[in-house]
Amino acid sequence: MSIPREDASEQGNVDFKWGHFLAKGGANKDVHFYESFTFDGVEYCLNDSVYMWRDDVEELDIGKLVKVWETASRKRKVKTVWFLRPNDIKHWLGDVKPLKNELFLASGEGVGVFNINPLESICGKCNVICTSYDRRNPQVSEEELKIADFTFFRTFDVGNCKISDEFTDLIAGHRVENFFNKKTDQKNKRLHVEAHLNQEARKVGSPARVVRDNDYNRTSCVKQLDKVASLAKKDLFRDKNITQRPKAILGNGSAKTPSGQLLAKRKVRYLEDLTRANESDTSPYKKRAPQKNPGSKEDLANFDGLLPNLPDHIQNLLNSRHPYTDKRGPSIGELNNKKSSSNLDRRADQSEHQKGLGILRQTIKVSRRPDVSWQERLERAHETNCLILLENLDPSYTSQDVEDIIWHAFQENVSAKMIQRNKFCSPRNGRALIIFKSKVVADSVLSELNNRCLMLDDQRPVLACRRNIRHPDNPSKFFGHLYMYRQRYQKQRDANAVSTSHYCQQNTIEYELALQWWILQSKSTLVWDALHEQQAKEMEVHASKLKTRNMI
Amino acid sequence: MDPSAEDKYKEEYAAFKEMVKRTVYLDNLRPQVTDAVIRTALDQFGKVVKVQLVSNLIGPENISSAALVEMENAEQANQIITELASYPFMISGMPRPVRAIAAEMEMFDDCPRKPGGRIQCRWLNKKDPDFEVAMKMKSAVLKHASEATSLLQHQLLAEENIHKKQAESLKANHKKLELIERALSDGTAKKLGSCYNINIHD
Repeated sequence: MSIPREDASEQGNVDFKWGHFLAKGGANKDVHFYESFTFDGVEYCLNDSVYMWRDDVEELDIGKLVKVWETASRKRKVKTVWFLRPNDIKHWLGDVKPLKNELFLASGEGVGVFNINPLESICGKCNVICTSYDRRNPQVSEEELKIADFTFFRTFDVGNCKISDEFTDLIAGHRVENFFNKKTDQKNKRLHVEAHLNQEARKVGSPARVVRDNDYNRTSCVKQLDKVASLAKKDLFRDKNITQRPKAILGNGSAKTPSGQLLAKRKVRYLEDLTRANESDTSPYKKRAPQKNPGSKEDLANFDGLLPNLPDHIQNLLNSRHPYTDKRGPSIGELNNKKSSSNLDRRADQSEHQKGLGILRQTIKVSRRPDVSWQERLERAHETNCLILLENLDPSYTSQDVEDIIWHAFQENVSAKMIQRNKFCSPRNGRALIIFKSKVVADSVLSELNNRCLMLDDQRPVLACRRNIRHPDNPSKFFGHLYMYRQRYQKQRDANAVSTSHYCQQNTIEYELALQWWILQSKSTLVWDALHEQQAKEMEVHASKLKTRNMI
Repeated sequence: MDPSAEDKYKEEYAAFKEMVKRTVYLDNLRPQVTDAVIRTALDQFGKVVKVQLVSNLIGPENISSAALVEMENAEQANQIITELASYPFMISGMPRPVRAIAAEMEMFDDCPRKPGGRIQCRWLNKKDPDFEVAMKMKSAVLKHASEATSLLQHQLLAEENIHKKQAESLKANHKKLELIERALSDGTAKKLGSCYNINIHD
């Protein structure tokens, strides 16, 4: 449903059309927000990555459209959150080596995270894919990765000029999920968009949305391994189209005479925004900064003035960092707390977990917990964001030990579960899953552990991160079992498929095939052992550099 | 810690250790394997006390299943390990053989606390001289984890390749044999045999 507001003749035959209408705002409801538009023959939607033209810089800037609107005076504006090129932040890279075609998502508080620009400075679409393993990010296939123009998996905080792998919940006031890869389900996308509009339904809708996110992450976990292999190759991106595409757009633009005029207009408008810039800075990053300073704060203030009709949910997003714990969104926070507090009570009955009501005191001998309830607890904790994974613990710790450590370090009561060792992760690396009482506590512990450093004895700094839980019913590939068709003629020397166990005879084909598997097995055992040895040596080297050893 | 509790811990720990000695870690199992199948499979080696399937909570995807099988005594466990290492043994599917190794304490879900062990921890601030080193250790751990993941990926690829090759060669062999069967059964072979004066017996 498009509302054609521009007069074609007025703008000089501009190739522009609004797409899906979102909402009205502003004092007189004369500011129109849109979800999509067609410009210069290309259709753009919210959360698309685009190239933007800046007059005096050769390289085009890349940003993500987070808001698109038309003002009362028929001016079209877009708010873009920037992707920083490594060149832009080379002062702060340190010894971080960016990948080819890697971008950094601007985040944090400060100048340079986003700008509001005229829509006409958009030059074309850009294919930017997020390759982060953040649990909120749907993973992409290897094919999609190959055709991407750019990738990003790190953010650059403009406030403290640091590069980080972690993604905060909000970037420039928008949910971080908008910056991750788009989910393929169209319905889900609609839900995301409509969530901003309808206030009532969101009280129930947001936790459901969280669950859906998790579902997607689970099923797309399989693609994660593909991704790692391709990352390991470091041969990800085609470089060809990047320079070609914007030229093509500009080329088209100059072919038509009215659009040539438009190009000039584009430049003029963008320049207007830049006139307040300080010319002394040479780095392109900083050039963007002055534009923000006088411009954006006003704009932001205008924003607030323009949008009194936005539902409370949006106000919350704009004002607070943690909408889930914000008091103005009461039901979501309460729902989370209720669920997690009942989880943490060790003596609660299984059925109480399901109902989420009350706390039943029942004495149970705490020796062996049945696996089923743990799986449920972990999943529930994961859904409410109370689950943290600790790594680099001593593998001989028990769950009890880990809970005690957390208690002494943070004065928090938690539930911990040490993860059983398999043959693939390093034997030195003990891991445990921790269930916290609430998301807030989990977040604060996570940031404490990441910013400062908790050293366990034996010179082990503890790592903490968030991780998806794997569901036991997830389909798992298994190679190595072959099936024979049962034929009428049974005189076959190789054995038929059996559902029981057996040794195989030496004179069968089966034996030869089994030997092949054995060879692979022994090879891989050797390789894994070698890897673990090498890793242990590396850790030793690091540990020897520690100045204070033997705290006992 | 009062002495009686300490003693109890020691006992538990000793009992657990003994159990570990009797237990075999079985892997390369197919994901749908069940308790009952494993029991019947290993019954021939002795009495199976308990079968515990290892859950893969956050672990890598697509690795084979594993189980911890507790036997009646340590000799039976050792026998399983040596036998399975000498002859390919298959459980509910072939030809990928199952592997058995001695179990270790950390493989279990709920090992008891080590008696007399002390855990210490301390916080490091940025000004601490060891902070930088600790940060480097952290990133080394992450690097190791991703190395392991990519190694696993290679391994899975190799497994897939073997599987495909074997499936193909099996199909080809099967076709050949089918052909021979058909020829023998419908009399073609006999006719040819009489042509060339060769006797063909079933």
